[in-house]
Amino acid sequence: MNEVDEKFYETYGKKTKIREYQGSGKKILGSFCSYTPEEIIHAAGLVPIRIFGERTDMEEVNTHVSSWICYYARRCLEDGLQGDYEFLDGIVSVTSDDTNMPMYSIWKKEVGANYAYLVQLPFAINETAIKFYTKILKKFKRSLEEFYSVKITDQRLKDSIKTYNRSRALLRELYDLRMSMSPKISASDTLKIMLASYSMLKEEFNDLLEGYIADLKESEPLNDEKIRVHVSGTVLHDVELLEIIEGCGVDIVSDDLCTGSRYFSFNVDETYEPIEALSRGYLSSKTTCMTCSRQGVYPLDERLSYIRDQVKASGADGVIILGDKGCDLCAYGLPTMRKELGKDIPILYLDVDFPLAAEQYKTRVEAFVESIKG
Amino acid sequence: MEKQEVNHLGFGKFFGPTYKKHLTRQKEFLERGRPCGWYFGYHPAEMNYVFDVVNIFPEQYSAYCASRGDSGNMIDDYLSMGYGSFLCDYFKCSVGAIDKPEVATKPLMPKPDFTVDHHTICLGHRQMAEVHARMYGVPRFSLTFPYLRKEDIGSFDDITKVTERMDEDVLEYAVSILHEFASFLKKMTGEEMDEDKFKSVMKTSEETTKHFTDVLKLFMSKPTPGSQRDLANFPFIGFFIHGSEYGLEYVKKCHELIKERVKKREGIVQDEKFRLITHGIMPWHTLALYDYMEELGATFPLNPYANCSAVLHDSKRPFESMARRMSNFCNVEHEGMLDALVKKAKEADVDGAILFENTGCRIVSLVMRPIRDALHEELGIPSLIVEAPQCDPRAMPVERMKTQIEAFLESLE
Repeated sequence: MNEVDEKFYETYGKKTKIREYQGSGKKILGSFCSYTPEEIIHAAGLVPIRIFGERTDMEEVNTHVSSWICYYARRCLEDGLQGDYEFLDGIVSVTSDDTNMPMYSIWKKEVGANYAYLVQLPFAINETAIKFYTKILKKFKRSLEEFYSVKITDQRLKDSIKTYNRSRALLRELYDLRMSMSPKISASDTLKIMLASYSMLKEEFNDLLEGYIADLKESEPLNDEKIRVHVSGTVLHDVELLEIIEGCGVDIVSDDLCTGSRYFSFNVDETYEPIEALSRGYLSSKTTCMTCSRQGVYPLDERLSYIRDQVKASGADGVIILGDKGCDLCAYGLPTMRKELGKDIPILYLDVDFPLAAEQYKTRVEAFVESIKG
Repeated sequence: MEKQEVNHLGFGKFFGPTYKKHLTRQKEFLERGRPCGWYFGYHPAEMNYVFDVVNIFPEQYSAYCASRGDSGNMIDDYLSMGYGSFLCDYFKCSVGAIDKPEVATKPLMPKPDFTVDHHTICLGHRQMAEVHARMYGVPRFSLTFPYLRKEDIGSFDDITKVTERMDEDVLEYAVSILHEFASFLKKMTGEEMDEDKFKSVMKTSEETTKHFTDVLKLFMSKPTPGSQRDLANFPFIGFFIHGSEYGLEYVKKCHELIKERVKKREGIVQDEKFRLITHGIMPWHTLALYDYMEELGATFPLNPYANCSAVLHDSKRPFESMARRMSNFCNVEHEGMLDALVKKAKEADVDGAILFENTGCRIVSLVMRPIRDALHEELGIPSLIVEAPQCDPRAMPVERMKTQIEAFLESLE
């Protein structure tokens, strides 16, 4: 077992920290989307975690949802229905896409939750939307206060915002080490660390990551001369898939995944009143789905611009798009993305579903690598 | 099962002339150089009549293509462009029509000067609008109404969209977006909003919605007075042309017909064997499927999909009324939406439900099983879920649907 597995991945896989928090009487709230304002949950003294589905055999979920819905939703629900999330006291979801909204209702009814809250997004980015979203977040805060009988003071919120900003800064630092011309960490190890960040309190995660980054800086780069690739997609938590890609002679040096750089691509400005600061911060986040967008621009242009910036900064030689045929957010923009990005850089599209068709992916990635090498 | 003759109300005979008036308006406006907008979702249609905009509905065009038997070729072309199978059929058809007009149903849609999307049927509409706007390089406007939680509105009426209450922040936000939309249309037309015209259009809309909602209420009468063929054009009126004089004329005539029939206590079949809910976007390529079910004695007093397009306006509060479209079946969390449905199901005294799961439509498909469960748990009635993409006849052959439906109806007997 390597250091990343031991220090981080175990936290996600075995839910070691979650069990520990539960043992000390802390309540755990699960969420489904990067738009979830975790700081408010954290400031209430609760533990925000991200729900992921690990199961790939769909036994229960097809009774409740169509089989062509995105694999993230199906796998989360399957795990929930099988009782893997019994430790959750509640769920918090956001109205970020057409699957998330019904999934919240289905989870609430079929899996059950003591506490359930749906945070309404304004879908727009402008001052009116920020004002509205500030009110929405205040209601969410009040709801947590009432249900859990806690007072979320401004000071607690400010502390949580500071903790989360620190976390984002550290993750950016980690990503820089992966992005350098001589990467010091692989993408699969980075994902393991990301998964740990969703499974423990951020203050503990920050301490752990800070120490790890210090060691990593002193370590030797990964000793390889591989093709540098940017990975694009939404929610990915399957380390195995990245390992398959890396095993084909690829360094994944940047990404725009919800469970990757998108998660920490923004900061919350600590000079604003805390709830307004969160409203401004989350609406400025460049999420993959671009659910909240500006009038007068094509949201996909903003996504493409983010990817191009990442590709430029990382010096990637190619882009691998990890698609989910059940994800409409990916699917509507896919042909345009392929066409636009393909003007500047080689593209490989992989249709991801589970169980993973490992050999098929290997063949395709190997061919892609060969085509780049010329 | 024994077949019966279906006695349609005959709304269809009024639709042809209504649609012709709509097309004539389009033609005249295009000739006069009025701007053309493509609309996606449940937008405040009235504003098009205030600003004299050419209003085009790619979804309605797609439904038309499907009903004419042309959608298959358009969907094939869409797939060849690299899009996936699990997106909205309407989107597939309209994109296919733009990419390969030679295989598309004529007349084609005139090119847009802008697109408008609205979020209260699905968030997919914003993506669809963006793709279309991009194809033509035109601006887009998003009516970003929020999704509603049960606590925002309490209970609501599925037909009128009147809510027990309305969260002030949500309403204020929605109204502000409508004002932004008015500004957008001012920019697109280069004209100020004519306040007198606005009042007059809203009056027309109010009158239209009164007739419209009453027709849908009367549909729930016993025996069921109208067929799904009668109802099939209603979503076009409700979603797209509220505020037009020709829309009002149409619903007035329909209202008269249905009132008369209800007064006489006449149904569409002699022997109404099963009163059923039907939900899901209609499979436009196979509307004869409804005839088939009705011939077997199954009638549909309640169709939440059609009800979605209804709203009751109050011309004294125009912006609030237009914002009321938020509280439609698709934009309310399941808990509130299922309460509204069960209430209507009780009123309509139904025996079961035949639900059409539209492949690629998340909002419709993800509510089917919860509806089935709610009807069973609350009313003890069974449901059949049939996979039925709204524009692609190949994904679910009609004969297979008939077999499933007939078995379901036999089980009800």
